[in-house]
Amino acid sequence: MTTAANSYLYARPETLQEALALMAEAGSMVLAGGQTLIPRLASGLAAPSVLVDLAGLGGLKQIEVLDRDITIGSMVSLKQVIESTELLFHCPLLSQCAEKTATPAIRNRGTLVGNLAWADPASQLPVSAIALEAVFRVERAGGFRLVPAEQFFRGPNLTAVAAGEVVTHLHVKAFARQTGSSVSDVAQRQNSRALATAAAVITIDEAGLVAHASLAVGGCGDVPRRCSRAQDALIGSRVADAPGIAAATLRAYPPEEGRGVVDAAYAIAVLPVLLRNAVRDACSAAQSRSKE
Amino acid sequence: MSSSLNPLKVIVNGDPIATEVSSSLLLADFLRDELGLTGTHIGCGEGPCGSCTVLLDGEPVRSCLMLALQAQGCSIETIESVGTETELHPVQAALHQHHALQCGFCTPGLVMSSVALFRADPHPSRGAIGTMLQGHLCRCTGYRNIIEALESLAGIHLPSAKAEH
Repeated sequence: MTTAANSYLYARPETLQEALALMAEAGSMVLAGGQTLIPRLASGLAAPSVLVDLAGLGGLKQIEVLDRDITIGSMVSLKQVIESTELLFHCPLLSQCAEKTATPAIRNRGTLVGNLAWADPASQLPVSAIALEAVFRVERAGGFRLVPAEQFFRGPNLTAVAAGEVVTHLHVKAFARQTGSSVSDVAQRQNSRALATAAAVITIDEAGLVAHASLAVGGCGDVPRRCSRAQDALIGSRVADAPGIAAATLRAYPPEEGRGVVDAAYAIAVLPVLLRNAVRDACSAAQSRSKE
Repeated sequence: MSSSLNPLKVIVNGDPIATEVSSSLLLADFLRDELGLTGTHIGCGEGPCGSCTVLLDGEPVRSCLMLALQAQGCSIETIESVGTETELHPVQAALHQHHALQCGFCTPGLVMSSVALFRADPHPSRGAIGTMLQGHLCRCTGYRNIIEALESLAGIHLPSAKAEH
């Protein structure tokens, strides 16, 4: 399993400052949950000179809700996301995605941010990050920047994180009372890698019409994409009509094909159905929430 | 080629271990090769199969997806700690009674996940058992006997399609 050729220095810093100083060295790589990185280390696909284990940084394991701002540390595990009653209430899309990701033992170690940073363009969390308008806090020794989700994903397994940088937090907004969400995907086996995914965050008004829609799809193209036309088409529509309108719009204006897909033609055929389902369930969730 | 040696302190099946390991040594290989605990199996090396599952501070983890060094200061339980030579653990007894293993390769990992499941809740739901089993691939049994074993242990009684033996 391990190869003698894989020799790197292992460091387990106790402060973020230490970690960033280590990351500033050439050939350094960060270790979070390791559920994706470890096989790559073992096979030599990843060949760092310094491996920086973030496990000692307790400050990165927090989920904080302050007013409407949710901040999730980059070492928060998928299990923590699922067990967080705060996230379930304030941002249920993340809870739903985490439950659909991998399997229990992997979720015990794998992190939310690690899954996002792996940037599988078809996968539930990256697609949902677009729909949630999530923002990534990216730090380096001497500074930080905030990267919106639509700029974070650059290609299949490629993000805006540069050498020497570490994602420390994910920022999302807490849902309003009349906001609901859903993610809908298709995979060969439940909880195996998604082939195509659609996510919807929908806010309805007092009259029961769609006031705001944030829609994203993945599985067709190099990165998950916002469905701007479908979003526009939904404004003011009745909840009963919204799923059909979203599907028809996406069918009329399919996303561009790209490299990071299992089968682009399949994704193009399937995504309108997934988007229809996501919009339907998001509207239903919004209606339930506004009655609570 | 020199590799970086780091001190490691862990507890394995109740025994404190203090040693030095290579930075690239996987936890699975540490358990199997350094400690001779070969009950933990390596199947896929990537996560899905679950054969390598051990308990880390009571939680199921994939030992093939961890460096030994990541277990620093933690307590690890492997299949060798489950049951004794004279008395099977209830999970093992249930699997035995329901013929829920054949080659046995996937079994240790499955047992570790089940031990953790039943520790947390002696009467897990069918859904909870199903979710746990999503993380374990078995090539031999077709899963039915595993499910029946765990459901019977959980106290979930179903009319069986097969005749009682």
